[in-house]
Amino acid sequence: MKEFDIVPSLKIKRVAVFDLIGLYKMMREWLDINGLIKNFKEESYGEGTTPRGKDITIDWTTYHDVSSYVRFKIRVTFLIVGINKVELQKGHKKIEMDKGNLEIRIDGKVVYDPEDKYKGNFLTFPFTALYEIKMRKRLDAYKLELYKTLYAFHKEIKLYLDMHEF
Amino acid sequence: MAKEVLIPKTVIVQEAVFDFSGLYKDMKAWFDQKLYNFHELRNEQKESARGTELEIEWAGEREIDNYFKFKIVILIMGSDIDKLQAEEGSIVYQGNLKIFIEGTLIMDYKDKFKDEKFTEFLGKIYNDVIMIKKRKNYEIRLSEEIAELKKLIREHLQLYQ
Repeated sequence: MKEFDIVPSLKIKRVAVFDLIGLYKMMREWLDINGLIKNFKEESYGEGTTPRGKDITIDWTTYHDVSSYVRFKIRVTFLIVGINKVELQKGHKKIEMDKGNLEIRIDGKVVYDPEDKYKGNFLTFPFTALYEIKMRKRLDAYKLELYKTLYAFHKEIKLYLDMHEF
Repeated sequence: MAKEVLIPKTVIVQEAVFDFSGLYKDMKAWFDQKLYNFHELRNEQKESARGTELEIEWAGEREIDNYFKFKIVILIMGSDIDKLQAEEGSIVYQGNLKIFIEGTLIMDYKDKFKDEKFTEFLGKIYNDVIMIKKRKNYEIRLSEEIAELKKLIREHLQLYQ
């Protein structure tokens, strides 16, 4: 098994008024639409109340097996500090939003032979060696594919939070 | 062991009305056009009573050959930024903006000369003697690319060229 970091930890930080539940749902939906929900796992969820508001930490992991040899692995971590409910007037309606400090980190890896299936022994070596040569050529394309996926996700989050994006 | 040659840091400062969204998109497009492997390492926006505070960090890397690599790091810092609507309806921003650009020429990025003292010594000779002409040329090329990016930013910010 070999792991390749596709992006350094991409950090998004927003101190403002935003819709946290909406963001949470949008991100899960995005993972679903892009075929990344099947192996989705909420590794941890922590919540605490402090005098400045609520603190929340969430850790998500998910993966998608592109083939038996290549896996895309994504980790998303949330660090939400001092969040409070606020009411905003939107037209004739009052809507509830969240005000506080939000930090999201996205990490992505391409894992090559995740289950060590093709590690091989002297009997299987000729077959696995040939397969490995073939796969190495495709690896760059896979890396680019995950890079694009991660930045598309990054862009959606920034758009939702009304941040500058390219 | 990889050796880094730093290109002097550049800072662009502007306090005015500017089209930040356009600048942001065009700077990213510049990295794509020059085939840099681009990353937005950090994007922080904080709303306060005085306006938006902004900190964005980018890093772009491009392999020139098997031995040399260009790296450009951009830090965009904004303070007291307010959104305005221009007469023709477009959105512009007003505030203070600082953009830092730092270029690095990385030699031996694949770490061919590492581990042992002797190979490190060979690497030093290779970098400082054999590759010196190529290194100077690449330093100039990277400086030119940074100057091009600087020009693009200055045009956007309507600064004197």
